[in-house]
Amino acid sequence: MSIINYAARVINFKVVYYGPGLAGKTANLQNIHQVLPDGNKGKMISLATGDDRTLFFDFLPVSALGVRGFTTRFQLYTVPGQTHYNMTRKLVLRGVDGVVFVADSQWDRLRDNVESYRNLDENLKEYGLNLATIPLVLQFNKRDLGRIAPVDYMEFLLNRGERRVPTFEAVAVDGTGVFDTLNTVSRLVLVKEFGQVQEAGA
Amino acid sequence: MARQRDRVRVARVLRALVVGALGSGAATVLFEQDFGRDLIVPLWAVTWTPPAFYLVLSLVALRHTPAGRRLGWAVATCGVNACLGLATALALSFAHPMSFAGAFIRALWTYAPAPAIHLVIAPLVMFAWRSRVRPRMTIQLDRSATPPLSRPAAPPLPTATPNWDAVLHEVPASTDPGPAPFERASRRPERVERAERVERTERVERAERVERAERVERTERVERTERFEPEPTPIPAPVAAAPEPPRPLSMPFVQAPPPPADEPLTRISFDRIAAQLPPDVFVLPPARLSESLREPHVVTVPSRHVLPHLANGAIDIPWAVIEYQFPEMAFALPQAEVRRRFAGWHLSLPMDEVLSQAPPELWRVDVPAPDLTALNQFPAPFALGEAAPTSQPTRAAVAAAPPAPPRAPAPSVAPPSAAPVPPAAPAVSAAVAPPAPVSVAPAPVAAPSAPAVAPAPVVPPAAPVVAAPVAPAPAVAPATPVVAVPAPAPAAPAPVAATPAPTRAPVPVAQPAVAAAAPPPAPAAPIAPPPSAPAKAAPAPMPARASAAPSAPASAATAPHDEESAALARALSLCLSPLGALDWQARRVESRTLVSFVSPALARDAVDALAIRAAILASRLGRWPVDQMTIRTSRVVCVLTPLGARGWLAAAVRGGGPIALVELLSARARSATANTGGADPTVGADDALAAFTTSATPLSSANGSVAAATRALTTFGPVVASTAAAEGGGPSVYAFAADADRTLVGVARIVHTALVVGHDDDTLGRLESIALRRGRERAIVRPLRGMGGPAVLAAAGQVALPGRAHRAAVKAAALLEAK
Repeated sequence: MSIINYAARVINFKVVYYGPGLAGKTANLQNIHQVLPDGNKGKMISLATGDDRTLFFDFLPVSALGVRGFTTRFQLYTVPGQTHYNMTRKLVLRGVDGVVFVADSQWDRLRDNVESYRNLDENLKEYGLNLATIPLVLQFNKRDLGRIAPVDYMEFLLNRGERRVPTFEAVAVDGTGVFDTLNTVSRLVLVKEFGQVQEAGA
Repeated sequence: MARQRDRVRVARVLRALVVGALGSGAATVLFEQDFGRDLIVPLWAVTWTPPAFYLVLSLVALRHTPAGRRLGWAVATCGVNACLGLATALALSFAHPMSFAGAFIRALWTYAPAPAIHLVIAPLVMFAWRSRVRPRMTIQLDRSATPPLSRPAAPPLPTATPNWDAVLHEVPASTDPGPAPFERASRRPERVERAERVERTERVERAERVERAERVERTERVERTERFEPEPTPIPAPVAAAPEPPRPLSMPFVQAPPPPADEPLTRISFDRIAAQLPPDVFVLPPARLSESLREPHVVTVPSRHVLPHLANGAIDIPWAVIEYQFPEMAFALPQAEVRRRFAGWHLSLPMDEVLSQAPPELWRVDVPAPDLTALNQFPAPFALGEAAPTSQPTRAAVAAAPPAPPRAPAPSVAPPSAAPVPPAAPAVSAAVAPPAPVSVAPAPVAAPSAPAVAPAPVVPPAAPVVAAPVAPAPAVAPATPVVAVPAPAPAAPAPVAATPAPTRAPVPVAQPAVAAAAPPPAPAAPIAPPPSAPAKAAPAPMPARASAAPSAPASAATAPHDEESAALARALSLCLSPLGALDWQARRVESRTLVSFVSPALARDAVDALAIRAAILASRLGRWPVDQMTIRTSRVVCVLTPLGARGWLAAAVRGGGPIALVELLSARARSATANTGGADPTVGADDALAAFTTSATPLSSANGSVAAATRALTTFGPVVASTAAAEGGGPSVYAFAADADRTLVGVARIVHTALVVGHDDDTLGRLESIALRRGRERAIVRPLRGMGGPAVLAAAGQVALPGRAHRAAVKAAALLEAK
């Protein structure tokens, strides 16, 4: 749910990067934080254990374009992908406006992708949301590795619901596909928030 | 087991004695009450009635028991009857004034109620040993309940879906009746084995029926696939329509028969699943086992076990499905034992091989691509700016810098690539135009994710980090850590701080841990800041502690007693408050202050000695200054952070603790205290690098272990391996860096001399690695063992993931040590 500050004319959106552990969610945010100009980004908060597993979540506020006189600001979150942190994932999903599901393309991580996707659906339902309506983008990460599944099969696993969602191949550590994903989910969020208004205005 | 058996025997005997005593007591009481004294039984009746009665009783009650055992039971009961007579005679002789002979005659003959009671009581006494005869009765009952062996096989089931629940749960493995707990297997009667054979036969028949039904269904499916007809049921959606988790096929005790020749099979290379086989099951090594398979080097799996699970991303098959392909002589155990021991054994199939053999029609999505034309209403909100690899360029510099050209877009699968993306520059300018308050006042960003939470008070940096994993309560809203502004912490002394008595001369400045384990949001810092006044009044040298450490350079460390050190420790303690209760101590090391915070569970003296050595090491690396040094042992992790001219901060926690958090908080503490300090005196100082720097010889990539180690260290970027032989008492160095870095070799040798030599293994545990951080560059030095002399591995490069770099160093060291 977007938060509108009419006094400051700022709209805050919350985008959550979801996915199994070690899929590259934090790498996405790190790349965004590294590449965005300083004027567009805030301070990235990253809480990781000693072996780089996200302990609680990562957080990166970024500013974007103005829409109808409001400054849009996106808060990018990640979740801990490890299975035993489901309570944290639920908390992070509270008030979410858009989701990027970061899937690991390696063959031996496909089961984790499916389980995490189901977990995402279950957690969204607790907030009255579902995958069919929420702005969602799939990112097939780690496409630079050798043993990866074909995109068709990844789509078969994760994107054969009643509504197909945009998908991107990515290599988060070098930035490939990171901003395509971010821009698409951001625009999906904006369309959901303002699309009808603009259409009406048009 | 033997004790349990003895206990059962004693219980039986006691039970029999009690019953017998009751019988004798009853006869005695009746005699005393003058009941039935007039009844006289003929002698022949007393003599022959018990055997006859017991024989008849055994024929009736023990009809399923073998005749020999029945006869034995009757004889034993007669003996018990006689014993009861003796017992009653004894009781009568004591209870009544008569001789034993007279009591004996009455108990057995002339007093009729007594023999009658004995006749009834004796079988009850024998009831205590009923288990000697009961199993045979039970087995006989089971046999009567089982159908005969010659039962004709049931006709094939219709094509309906087999009732898997019935198959799987009718005879669960866990309820399979085994031998009695105290019964020897060799003594199990033949009928038991026969009954079990019948049961096994039934199971196999049931499995065959299910198999036939499946075969029919599979044949239909294959025909549909060949005709490219869709499945009768649509492919379920990944989440909504298929919430049920994949249910693995499970017939652990029934070996699947070989599939018919015309059945489609999925062939899996044996090498891909060989690692999943338990090592003690086969007598052959994997290579020979692979050759001896029914189809050499390949395991075949019926496609009906594979294709339905394609949507799960992983396919597990039960061992029973492929067991028949392994030669029987290859097993180290009987196959039945293998099935029993690994009842739930499943093998994961490599999905790439499975998918290459599956018809693409089965996993191709026919749903139309999403329509994203509506996205064109908005330009791309984000565009690539100039990369900021190093920290914090000024805002003016960023504003003046032109935006970097956008990178090549990722190969997009979905139509977003078709949607024309407007130029990014206007978006950036629009975004930059309003002042970005995020970095200035990050507090408002907390609002959206936790709107219901009241405005949070000033929280120590990253306070929720500690609270969240333990109890992610709703109060710890996700946005709370946004309050990451450095706490405007006044130097408020903690109320729980213990004030040392100023009159005691040897009072150390450092106070033992006094921090309450309060939750982080508490306004008071958990770590007690050092009280300034007592510290000034109590000049406390710490020679005792420093000298207690065997390898610590005691002469270099002295305890401070100035207010400046106390203030520094106070400021640092506020920064480290999220770590919870820590002991702290401040001391002088080479004219600077070393403030160490140590977890109370650790050996304080040894950790202090380690911190002193690390501080001295950091000062020796003058031309190669480090931002942070992390020393890992098997029990302790010590993070040393130079604070410029003010000294050093050392924070030590247990091994396995939140290392990243310690490093992060230490870095923040460095930032918070750097403004008040002067220039780092180590920069430009004389150092020991020159003495230790030497040339390194590049190693050939043909060396297998070195090449493997080089590959393992790709986290450090492209590295080349070089080595420097041991000289001058220094260790031999295996260096991995972007080029043959002579400095890295020198650094590794200094680290070895300062920290590895004389390390207190007993107290601190084995030294694992020393990580030196310089901006984004990180060098890891790890001692190598078993190399025939002192040796270290040193790897350096640009590292984005420190934890992964550490694991890579561990792997590379293991490869080199195995050389």
